[in-house]
This record gives sequence, structure tokens and C-alpha cells, in this order.
Amino acid sequence: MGTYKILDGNDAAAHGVALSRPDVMAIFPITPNTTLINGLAEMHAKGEIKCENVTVENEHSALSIIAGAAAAGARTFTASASQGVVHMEEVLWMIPGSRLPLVMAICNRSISNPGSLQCSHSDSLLQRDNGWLQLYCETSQEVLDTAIQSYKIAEDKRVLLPIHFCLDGYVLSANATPVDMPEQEEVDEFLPKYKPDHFYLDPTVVPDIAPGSPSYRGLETELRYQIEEAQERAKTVITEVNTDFAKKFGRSYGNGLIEEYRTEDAKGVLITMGSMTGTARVVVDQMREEGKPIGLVKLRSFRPFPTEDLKEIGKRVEAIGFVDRNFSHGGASGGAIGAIETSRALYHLEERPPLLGFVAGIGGRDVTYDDFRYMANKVLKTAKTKKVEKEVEWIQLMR
Amino acid sequence: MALKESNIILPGGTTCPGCSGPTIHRIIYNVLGQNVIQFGGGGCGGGSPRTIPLYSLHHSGVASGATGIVKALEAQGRTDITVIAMAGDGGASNTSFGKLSAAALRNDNMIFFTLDNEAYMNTGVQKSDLTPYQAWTRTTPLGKPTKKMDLPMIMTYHYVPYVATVTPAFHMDMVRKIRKAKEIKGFKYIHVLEPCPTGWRSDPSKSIELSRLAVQTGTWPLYEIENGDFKVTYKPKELKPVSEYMKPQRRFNHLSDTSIQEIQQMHNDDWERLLSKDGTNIW
Amino acid sequence: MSSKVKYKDIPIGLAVSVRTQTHTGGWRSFMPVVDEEKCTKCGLCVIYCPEACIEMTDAGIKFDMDYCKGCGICDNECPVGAIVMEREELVG
Repeated sequence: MGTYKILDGNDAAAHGVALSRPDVMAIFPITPNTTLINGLAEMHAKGEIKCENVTVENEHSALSIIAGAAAAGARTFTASASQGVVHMEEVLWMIPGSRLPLVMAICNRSISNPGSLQCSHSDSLLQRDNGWLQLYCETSQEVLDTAIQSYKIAEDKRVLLPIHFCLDGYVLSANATPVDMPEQEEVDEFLPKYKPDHFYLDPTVVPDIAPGSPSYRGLETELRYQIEEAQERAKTVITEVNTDFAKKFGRSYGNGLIEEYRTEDAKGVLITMGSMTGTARVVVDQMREEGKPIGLVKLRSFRPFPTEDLKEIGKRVEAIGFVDRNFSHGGASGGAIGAIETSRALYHLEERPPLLGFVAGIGGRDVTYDDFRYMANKVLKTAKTKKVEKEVEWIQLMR
Repeated sequence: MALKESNIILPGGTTCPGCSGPTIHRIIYNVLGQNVIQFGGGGCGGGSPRTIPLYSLHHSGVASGATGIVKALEAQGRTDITVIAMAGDGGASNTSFGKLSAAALRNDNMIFFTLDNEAYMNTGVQKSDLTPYQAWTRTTPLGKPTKKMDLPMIMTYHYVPYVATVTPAFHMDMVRKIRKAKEIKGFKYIHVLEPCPTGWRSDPSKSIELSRLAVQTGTWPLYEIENGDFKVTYKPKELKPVSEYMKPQRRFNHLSDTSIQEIQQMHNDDWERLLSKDGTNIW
Repeated sequence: MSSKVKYKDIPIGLAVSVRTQTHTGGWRSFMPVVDEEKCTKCGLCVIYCPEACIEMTDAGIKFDMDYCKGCGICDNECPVGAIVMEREELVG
């Protein structure tokens, strides 16, 4: 602690991973993660990370390689974005079923077509059904910290599920800010070595049942329910890891699952994910100066979805707006995944606040101060009138 | 008997009666022993129970999963363990082809076995790119119009230290080649012809005989390539006619005599070309 | 659903059986019969049998009928014709 480096999101991720001492990493470039893996390759070449570095030929291979490595007991890492994530989709589904605690960075980028090299959350949100945990980072500091925390969360015996830590492509991955660098010794104390006892490929370990492959014996219901329970337990683990991290390194991120900003007497709140939260904080401060009772909730963990935390907020506020950097074409009430999940979480509250969905930031379009002001005003208006004019609004659409 | 039964591959697997897959697995494991981790099921013929750990993701990622295991073992210093990857012909030539190519180019330290029963057998006999010319399959009911891919030769041009073709009827040749591969560090490729009575429409009792006839007719030449040094390991003075190999397989019985003659000519040409490579370095 | 196997007891990451053997002896219609006089104990049937059902002993070869699928490879490969496949009688 105390050493500061100017790092962009990708560099921060690379440092965070390097500090976590992976055994095997598989690297393949795709805009905007390229400098992340370049950084790792350079650190490896200089001997700053002691691990096996596999330069793979496509993302599907990257993930299968680290799956094999994790099955043999190694701590692993890979990173991808957009098309790469979709390319490895087949393998992404196999990993939670095998209960392998892989850590993967997703530098959020739009999926084609039409696509962009810039940020949308579709690539990581596409994984919301398959059992991977998902944490969204706001700053380079948070990226570095979350990289280290991800290993601790995933490898926890109560969880043993793979985890994505997500950083917005370009907006966060390529923007540099000062980052407080933890010392290697401190990280070693915080993050013990990976020692699996549930899945360890070795000639002397021969179960009657082979770990990992499709459950031909008809046990998918039971195996998937185990994953469901692990996701539930992950809520506790994420919160614990956040607290322990704060004790050791002095930084915490809300309760680990969400962070509330000026929500104490808020009539309405906006919910954001990723780097846009930074912009939202500024607007909330400005509007508070003007006496407007707006608050902000940063959703850090999308999987497991912090149902209980949002329920508590839903009981206290009079309107909620979810800023979705994604879409779900043809989805209920106009799609917008965050709005859909939040509405499910709040559905059975005795008194449900109106919920507005805002689609913004698609294809990397900047979510500006003006955009946030517009959304905040909409939320506060809805808090007064209790009337929802439009369930999902694409606020940046050129009309 | 030269090789002791290791009892690593157990009886009671769900392969068809007459499947040569389990025989092949037993030969392989009798050579390699117990200190092995296997990745990939080996296609349809890999249904036997076994006493070594087997992990498989999908036939689309065979070489890559094995690479991961190799790298983990290297990172952990457990380098005495042999890692093998087993793919069917569908996995090796189609779905995992890119992975196989990349693993070979990285020279990842494993033995990669292609268990070639010449079609996607497990899904019910659909063509793969290792299906031979004119063979019937459910997706080529009039006979496959394209030639069988020459995967062993493709692999040797990845500049890997060892490539070999084997088949269970010539089991001592197979044993010798697997023993050799085990001692070499780097990417070793062994391509096994695996007769399949169900897909080849042949008598279950003839599977080993067909594996022998494949070699004796020159359809499946046995060779090994060590750092580019090409060596044909079985050279009959005279090749048996191809029809002897094809007649017991009803997947070829739609062929006219003219077609069979055409195929015989192709075989003769291929055999000449092969002999001209014998004893030379082809890199 | 009440059942003997409870989901909590299933080891995590579980799936396809690696060691489980199926009683494949129930599959066959023909069974191998060896003429011990003819048998030269060459061991080829032991190598080629897919199910590893043939064991070489000092007294000659023995078949494991729990697993023999009756494929007939041993009959076909025996160089001296010591093994013959015979129709197996159904036991009622």
C-alpha cells in the first residue's frame, strides 16, 4: 500500500491478476482487452509472473485450455470481450457445471451486428443464465481490487463457481487514473493457494463418476440446484470478501453487492452498472445541491443478483430508474435486462415503487451529465405522479 | 505374450459388439500404464469404463483441454504424468481441427490419438472429413464425393517430433510406436484406424480382420515420421486388391466394378507416392 | 420429490460414470466355446477381445461371460480355429 501507479482498466486488471499468482493463463487479443493481455504477456516474459502462458488461437480454445488446467488444480486466467465471449459460449456453459473456479475478465463491448468496438454490457449479461458470477467495476482501482477478490470468491469452498469481473471497454479499460498498488506479500496473505478437493485430475484420483461432463445419468436437476444454492451462498461470500479486503487494504465497495450513494432520504434512485456510475455520482451531487432528493445505487454484483438489497431500497424509495447499457430485443415491457431483473425482485413487495427502464450507452455512446439529469428528473417526476409514462425509454435515440 | 494386461480399461462398456475401440484403448493403456490423465472421450469407440481419470468438455475442444492439463502439470511440477488427448475422427478433422493444429504448433507435450472410425458414428453415421471416398453414410447416401483428408501428413507439416499411423490388427507395431511416442517430449500424433461394424456395415466378428486388410491392401499404410524422417513400417511385396477390403463392408456395396477399379488405381498411385517418400526426410 | 439420493449428497461437479461396468453379457446371442486340444495359447484372442473378457491361464483361456457380447472376433481371429461361436440357449 502507498505505491501509486497511473493505470488504465486493462493495466489494473493485469496487475491484479499478476498479484494473484495464476498458474496458467491463456491469452488472446480482442479489442478492447488487447492491452490487458499484452501487459500480461510482457510481465510473464520479464519473469514478473511465474506461470505458464499459453498463446492460443481463438477464444474457444482459451477457455477450454484453462478449464483443463483448472481441472488439474491450477489457478487460471483469461480475458475476452464481445465476439470472443460469444465464440467461447459453448465452453462458458460447461464450466459452472464442472464447478471450476475460473476467473475471467470481460472488457465489455457490443456484440455485432450492428456492433461497435465500444462499450455495451450485452457480452457479459449474455452469461446471466449459465452460473458464472458477475461483478461490474467502476474505476481502475476497483478493477485491480476486484481481480484479487474474484479469486477469493470463486475459490471459496461455499461457492466454487467461475466468475467474470467486468470493465467497460475503452471508457474504463483505456482510461488511466491513479491506482494504489497492494504489495505482493499483502496479497499472498489475503489470497491463499488454490487447493481443490472436489475436482483434481490426477492418476491416483479415480472417482466412480467422471467430474464435469454432461450428466447422462439424469441428474441435471440436482446438479443445477447445487449451482443455484452456490450462487445464493455467493452473496454472503462476496460481502465477506469485501469486508476482509477493506480490513487489509483499506478499500471497500458498498457491501460488495451494491453501493448506495446518497440514498438516505432519497425519493427516487437511479441504478447503474460499470463506469457510468462515476458520471452519475457527479450529477447526483449537483442535483442534491439544488435540493432534489435523488440517490444512486451502484449495482456491483449482477450475479448473484442482490434481490434482498434491492427489496430494501424498494421499500424506502418512491421511484426507481435502472440505467441499462444493454437491450433485450422483444423482451417484456420493452426489454432492458436490469429493469427486468429488478422488477422481478420487487414484484412481491407490498408497496412497489414504479420502475423505469432507461436504455443508454449502447455501442459506447457516452452517458453524459445531461443524460443523467434527464433520467434523474424523470425518476423524481414519477415519484411524485406515480404514473409511468413509458416503461422503457431509449433516451439517446436520435429521433 | 509381450504385453501384460493392465486392467485399466475394464469390460462392460456400452460400445457395440465388435467395436474395435476398446481393443485399441486396451493396447494403448497396456503400454502407457496407470500414470496417465486422459482428456477427451475418443469418439464413439471410447465408451469403456476405465481406472484412470478422464475429463472431457466436448469434441470441439479436445486438444485445447489437454493443453490446459499439460500446462497445469508443468506449473505444478507434476511432469512425470503422461497426458493424452483422445479424439474421434469428427473431433480431429472437423470440430477440433483448429485446436489440434494450434496445439501441435505450440508443441504442447501430449500424445494426441485420433480414433478414426471414418464418420460421425455416435450420432448415427454421418460423414466427417475422414470418411473415405465413395463411402455410404447417412449424409452421403450416394457415396461421399470427396477424398479422405490426409490428417497424419497435415500433422507432420506442423513440424511435430512424431507422427504415426497404426491399427489394432498390427498390435506389436502399435505397441512399439506408442512406446516410442511416450519417450519423446513435445506433440506426438498417432492416428488409429478403428473399424466400426455398425457404421461400415460389416460383420462384428470381422473388425480386426478389416483392420488387417486395410493395411494389406494399402488402404491404410502404416508409417511413422520422426522429425520429418519418413519410414513405412509395413511393406508387403504385393498389395492385396482393394476390393478384398471393400467387399465385406456394405457401405461400399453400391459401387460398380468401374468405380472400384478407379479406386484401385488411386490406391496404386498413392502407394507409389508413399514408397518414394520412404527413407527420406520430407520436411 | 422424495428419493433415496438427495441432491445435497451428490458430490459436486458430478457426471458420467468412468468406472461403472454394464452387464453386457446380457447382450449376446452367440457365445464362444474353446476346444482346449486345439488351443496353442498364442494369446491373440486375449489381445483382440474388445471387452477384455478372455483371460490366459496356465490351463488355457477362460471367458468372462458376465461381459462377453458375443461379437465373434475371437472366433474370427483364432489362427487354429480353436474358438467357435455357438448359439446360446435362452434360459427361461
